[in-house]
Amino acid sequence: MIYIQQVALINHQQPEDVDVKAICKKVAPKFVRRTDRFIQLGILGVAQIQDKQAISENTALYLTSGQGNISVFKRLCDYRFIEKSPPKPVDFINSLSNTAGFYIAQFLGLNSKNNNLYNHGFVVEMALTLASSDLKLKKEQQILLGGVDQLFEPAEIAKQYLGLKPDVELGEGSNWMLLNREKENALASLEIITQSMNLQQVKAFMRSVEGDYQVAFALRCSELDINELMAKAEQTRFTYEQRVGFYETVALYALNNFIQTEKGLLLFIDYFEGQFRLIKLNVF
Amino acid sequence: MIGSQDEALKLRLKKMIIEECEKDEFAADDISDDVLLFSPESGLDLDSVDALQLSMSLQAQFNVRLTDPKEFRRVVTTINGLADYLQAE
Repeated sequence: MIYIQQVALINHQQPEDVDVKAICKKVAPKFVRRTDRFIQLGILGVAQIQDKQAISENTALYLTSGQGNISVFKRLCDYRFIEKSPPKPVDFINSLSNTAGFYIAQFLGLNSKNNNLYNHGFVVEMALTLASSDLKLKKEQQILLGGVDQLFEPAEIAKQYLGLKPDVELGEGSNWMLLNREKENALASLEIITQSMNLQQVKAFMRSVEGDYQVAFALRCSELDINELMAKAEQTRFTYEQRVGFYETVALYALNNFIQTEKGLLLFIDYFEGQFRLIKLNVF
Repeated sequence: MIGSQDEALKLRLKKMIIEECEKDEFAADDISDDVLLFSPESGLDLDSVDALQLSMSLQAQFNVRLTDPKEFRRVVTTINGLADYLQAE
């Protein structure tokens, strides 16, 4: 069991309408130069946490993303294959995997571990699993864990790459949790179920959970599966889907949104390529 | 016309520095013609990454290759100095 001390939510349902650079200029004017939208989203997310709670300099930074800084990757490809020129030095630097973490750590004044985490599917669960292990093993005192994904255009190609249906709307977000082992002053506790499950195992798990709880589903879950899981269930469904477009780390938004608006237990059910993963969240 | 007397060239160089080094808070008029660009006096706060970026921009826009750091430091001094290097007469 790990505890969530603070959360931050940035969720852009229509990212093309949001001038992230202009917002970042107000919040962190020194961090606009040489940073791009992906890094700026990360900075804006942690700034929300910093506004609510001081973050000690030994707090480890775990940044996860479904696509990473995909816009800078596209620019590098454009330089290489279309313009046939070397990349801009700043773009090359920003393409390195933990550059976003470097800028975020600079903004917060952290002097600690900077982890950039990616997994093919279940990116949030994997990052939380690692954070949970590192806290339990006392490798870290406190972890600032965030999921950042930016809109990648053209949307049609992004949807193909992400394996989404054409009618799915894309969004972007930067959602963060401040995690530690202490229950004192915590907003919620979090338990990652590390086992992958099939539909029947999820049903059995849902039956095994004692007491009232709510259920939320990842955007990748099909309506068919959701209907089957909820058919005879007594639980109510926590819906957040109307407020988001798809991005890989949207699960963190769902969890943080529940923390901000609800009390009690939430079972978050994620889905990727035929497998389910579960997260139990208990809001105090 | 020697570069340091070519106002259009100097304006182009100042705009290039502002754009390529993402110094949006500066206007071209803020950059003096005779102040050392890579010095505290310029107020631009340029560093080695900016130098690399400028050397690439000079190659792309003026077809000038400045791959040797010593050569770069000799050429990219002030706006007047750079303009004179690019346009000797």
